[in-house]
Amino acid sequence: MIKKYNARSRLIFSLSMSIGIIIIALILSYSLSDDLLVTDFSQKSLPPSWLHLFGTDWLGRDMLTRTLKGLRLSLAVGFVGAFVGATIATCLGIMAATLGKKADAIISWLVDMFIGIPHLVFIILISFMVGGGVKGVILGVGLTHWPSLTRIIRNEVLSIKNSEYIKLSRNFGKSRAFIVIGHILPHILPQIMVGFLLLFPHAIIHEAAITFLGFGLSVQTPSIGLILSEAVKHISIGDWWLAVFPGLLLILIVKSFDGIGEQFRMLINPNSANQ
Amino acid sequence: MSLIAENIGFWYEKNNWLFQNVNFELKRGEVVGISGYSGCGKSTFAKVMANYLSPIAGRVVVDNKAFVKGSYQPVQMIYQHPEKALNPKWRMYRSLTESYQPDQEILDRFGIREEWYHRYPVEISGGEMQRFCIVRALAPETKFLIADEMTTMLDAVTQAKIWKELIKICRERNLGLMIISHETELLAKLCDRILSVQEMQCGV
Repeated sequence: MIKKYNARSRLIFSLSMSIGIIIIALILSYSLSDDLLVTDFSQKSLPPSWLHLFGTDWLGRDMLTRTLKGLRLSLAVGFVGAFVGATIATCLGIMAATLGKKADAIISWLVDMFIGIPHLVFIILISFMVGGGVKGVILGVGLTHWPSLTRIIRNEVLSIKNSEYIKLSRNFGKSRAFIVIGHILPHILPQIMVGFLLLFPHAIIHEAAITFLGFGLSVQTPSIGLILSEAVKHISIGDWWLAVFPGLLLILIVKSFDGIGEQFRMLINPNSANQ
Repeated sequence: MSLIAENIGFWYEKNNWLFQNVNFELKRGEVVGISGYSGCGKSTFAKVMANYLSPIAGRVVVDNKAFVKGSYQPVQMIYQHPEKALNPKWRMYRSLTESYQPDQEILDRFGIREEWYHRYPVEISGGEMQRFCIVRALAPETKFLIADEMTTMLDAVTQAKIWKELIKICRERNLGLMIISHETELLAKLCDRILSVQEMQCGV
C-alpha cells in the first residue's frame, strides 16, 4: 500500500526540494575554480562531455562554471531587486490604508497607472536613465514590481485596521507609528514574505531579459542574460549547448522560487494548509 | 466632573436614525446601567460615548471639553469579547502594559497570575483574558469606564467576583462607570440608576 501524504507534507517535501536545488547551485558557484574561465583556444567550442558537462564556448571557457557563476549574480540582483520592490510595496500599501482617503486615492491611482505600463519597457527606460549595470537592473526591477503587492498589502491592512485592539491602542494614546510597527506589521509579515518570494523569479527573468536585449549588465560581468544573448550568435553555427543548458538551468531556478512562494502561501493560508 | 452627551444622534444608514436627541450625563463616582433589547443601539451608544464613533449630530464632552486626539483618552471601554480586544500575536504581558504599568496590588485584586504573562491570548481562558482587559483599562488617567456586556460570556461565580472588585475600585478612585447589559437583574443589583437608550431620547 502506498501511504497517502496530506498536502502539508507534500508541500514541505517540494519546498525542501526547491530550496535544495538553489543551495546546490549556490555552493557549486562558489566551489568551482576560476581557472575554468581562463581563455583556452585548444578547448574551443567543445560539445558537452564528462569533462565539460555543459560544453565550452568559442573562447574555450567551461560553460557549467560560467552558467553557475552567472546564476549567482542573477540571484543576487533578483534578491536585491525583489527586496526593493517589496519595501516600496509595504510602505505604499500601509500608507494607502492608514493615511486617509486622499492618500489612498493617490496611491491607488499610481498603482493602476503602473500596472497599465508594460514592465519591460519601463525597466529598459529606468535602466537606461541610471546608466545601466547592476544598479540599473536592480532599480529597474525594484521600481516596476511593487504595484500588485501594494494592492494586496493595502487590502490586508484595511481588514485589520478596524479591529478592536487597534482602536483600543489608539484610545491608549499610542501614536500612528507605534500602531503600524507594533500591531499592523507583524500581521502582514507573511503576506510580505510571500510577495517577496513571488517577486524573486520575476526579478531574475527580467534581469536576464534586459541584459539579453543589451540594456542591462555590462559584457564582462557573468550573467545568465548575457550568456544567452551571446549564445544566440553561435546557435546558427551549431553550438546548441551554449543556449540550451543555461536556459534550462534558469527555468529550473525560476520555477523553484516560484514554487517556494506558491507553497509558502498555501502553508500560511489556514484554508489550504491542512488539506 | 462629568461625561456629557449633548443631543447626540447616530445612524449607520443615512437618515435611518438609530437614536436621536439623546441627552445623558455620567458623573464621576456614579454607576449607571443601560439596558434594552438586542439591536436597540446600546453598544453603538457606548461606542459614541467612548469616542470610537463620532456622533452624527450633537457632541460628547468631558468637563466641557471635546476629546483630544492622540493622547490617553479619559473614557475607556471594556468589550464583550476580550479575544478581539487583544492582539493575538502579542503575549499577555505586552498587551497588559500597553496602556500603563499596573502595580502588583491591582493585579492581585483581579487574580491575575504571573504564569499567564508569557502566554498568547489563545492559550488562556476567556475569563482570564477579560481580567487583563479590565486591568489594562484602569490606568491612572482613566476617569470614566464603559463596560459593554463585559461578563456575558463568563460563569456566575467569576462574574460576581469581577463585578465586586470593579465596583470597589470605581468607588475608591471616584470613576464613573457605565454598564451596558441586557440582564436587568444584574443592573438592578449594581447600578445607582438604570436607563434605556429609548428613554434617553427626548420627545419619544
